[in-house]
Amino acid sequence: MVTEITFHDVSFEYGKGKEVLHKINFTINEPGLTCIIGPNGVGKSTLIKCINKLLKPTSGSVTIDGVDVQSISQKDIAKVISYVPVGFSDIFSMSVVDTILIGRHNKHKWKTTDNDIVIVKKVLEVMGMSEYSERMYNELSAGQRQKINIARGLVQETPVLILDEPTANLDAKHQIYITELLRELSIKNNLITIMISHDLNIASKFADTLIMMSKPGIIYAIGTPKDITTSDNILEVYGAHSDIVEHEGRPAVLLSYLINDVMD
Amino acid sequence: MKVMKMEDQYEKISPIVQKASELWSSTCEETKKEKAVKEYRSSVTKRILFIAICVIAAFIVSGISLGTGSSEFGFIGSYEILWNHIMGIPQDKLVDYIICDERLPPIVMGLVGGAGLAMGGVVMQGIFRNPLADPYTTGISSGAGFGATLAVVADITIIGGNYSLVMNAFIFALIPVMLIIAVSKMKGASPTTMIMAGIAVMYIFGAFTTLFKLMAEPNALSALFIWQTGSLGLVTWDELPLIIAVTVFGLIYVQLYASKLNVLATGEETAKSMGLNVEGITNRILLIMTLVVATIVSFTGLIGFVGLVSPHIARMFVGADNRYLLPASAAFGGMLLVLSDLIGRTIISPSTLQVGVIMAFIGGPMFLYLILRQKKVTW
Repeated sequence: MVTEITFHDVSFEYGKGKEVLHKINFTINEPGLTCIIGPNGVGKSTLIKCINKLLKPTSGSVTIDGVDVQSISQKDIAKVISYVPVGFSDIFSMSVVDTILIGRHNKHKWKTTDNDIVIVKKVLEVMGMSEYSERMYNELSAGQRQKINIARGLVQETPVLILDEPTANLDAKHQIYITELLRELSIKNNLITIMISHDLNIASKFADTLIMMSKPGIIYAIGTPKDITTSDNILEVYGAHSDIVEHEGRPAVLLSYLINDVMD
Repeated sequence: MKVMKMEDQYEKISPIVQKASELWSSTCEETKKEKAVKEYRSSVTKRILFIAICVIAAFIVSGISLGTGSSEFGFIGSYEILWNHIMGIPQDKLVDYIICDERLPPIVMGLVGGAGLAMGGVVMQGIFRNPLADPYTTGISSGAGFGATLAVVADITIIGGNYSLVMNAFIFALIPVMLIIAVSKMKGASPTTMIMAGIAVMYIFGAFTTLFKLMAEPNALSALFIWQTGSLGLVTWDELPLIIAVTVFGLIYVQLYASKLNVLATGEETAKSMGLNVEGITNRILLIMTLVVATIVSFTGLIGFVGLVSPHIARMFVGADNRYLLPASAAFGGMLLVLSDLIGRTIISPSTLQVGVIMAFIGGPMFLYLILRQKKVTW
């Protein structure tokens, strides 16, 4: 089990002078769903890639339970963190079952065990994709592929799950389902789940913690949706007017017009 | 900045999510479990069956090829002669010579060479994430070919000794490998760019080879011609043990990495997140496959397309899981090359058509089909 992920003064540059993250500090020390929100290009994906060592901070460090991730081997990180990237590769399509089985690589290596098969069957049921098990991955719709990618992340059975826009290609129903499911699984199984989302309402409705990022690669605010999803914050970060209404104890955003006359 | 735990736990939960969450935490019922396992295992059996069929087909085609020629011995007759030879009781010395020393080496070369080149195709298509990649289209065969030409025609070798030919081929084959790796790392490099780079290398090596042709003695020239079109008939029992050893080693080595190749197929970033040393694995596998291809090409000349066609056909039957795709392609590739050689030896009999020509007749249209299908996505 992982109990704490902490960013200590993390900055990241893609090449000299192109700073994407600037002195990021925060701690996640409770199981549950953390949603990262913020405009395009503020470094959300870069931030989550620093957690599982896909990127190395230019300065500062990320620690998992007090240990600097840079000092842990990629193999050991993989035992603790699953990563679901944005988009998907489909150059040589495998069947849905085989695609999800790749997620069991850390457990089975060469051989596929009975347990692997059972977990894949279970995750297919959880994703509502049982009937597609024998279909080829590239025959599926974008949303269905997305669900298979999430399934591949889930079967890794790690205490930390990070997802880059997992609901990007999903319809409203599936956005709710996936986000709520991720939250529920996190709470029930003591997982730390961190996902990037562009839907302020979905994030506000289901996240336990919201991280709001803004330019130039900073954390503008972090806290509960009630604290973060405010008209002032949205105006400042997105440059959009909005009204916030409370719905079932959670903030819901009604977006209005933009304040800037040019796009940045 | 510390995050406080939320005080308000929202109470409502979608029933379907509740159900899914309970399902995820529950243990699977025995009957369901058995059914799922049985289903998966039966799909694996089907894949293994395809591999077995390819192996049996290779055995049959080899038998027919062994018995076919100026003297006909028949399928069973040929294997009988071979069996007697292995048991040390050859019946007729001339017949024994025809089967074991004349006809068997090209067949063994076909099986081993086809398997090695096909496996090279699987590996290159997987690693470069490019359906058009194979030892030929990436320029690796041409590099190896040029290295071998230097050794044979001009007697220029990088290292001396018994293995100078193979080492020459290997070292020159590494040039296109390095180029392709460099191109694949370029921003915005599409699968087609990589193949274009491979084809460019192919032309450059081709130009150099032509230069040597102009300078070569008439005898060397005819050897060079046969060698450039690709032939199984150049090899003897003296060289086969080395070729078999290198290829079998390569096949086993890559097979051990099959599961990791599957992870690589998900993309570099995901593979890394799953704990793979992407660069290390890629380089090691490419190096081994280049050695295998260089060794084969040193003795057969340039045989194209077997490495391209075999993986695609095998993939139709066993899917893209490399654990099954690698042996299936190898078995199919071996069979295909021996079959092409058999066709080449019989179609305009008593003359012989080089195996490379037959392979090009089969592979060319297939390559064209793949390029056209690819066009939609990459250009």
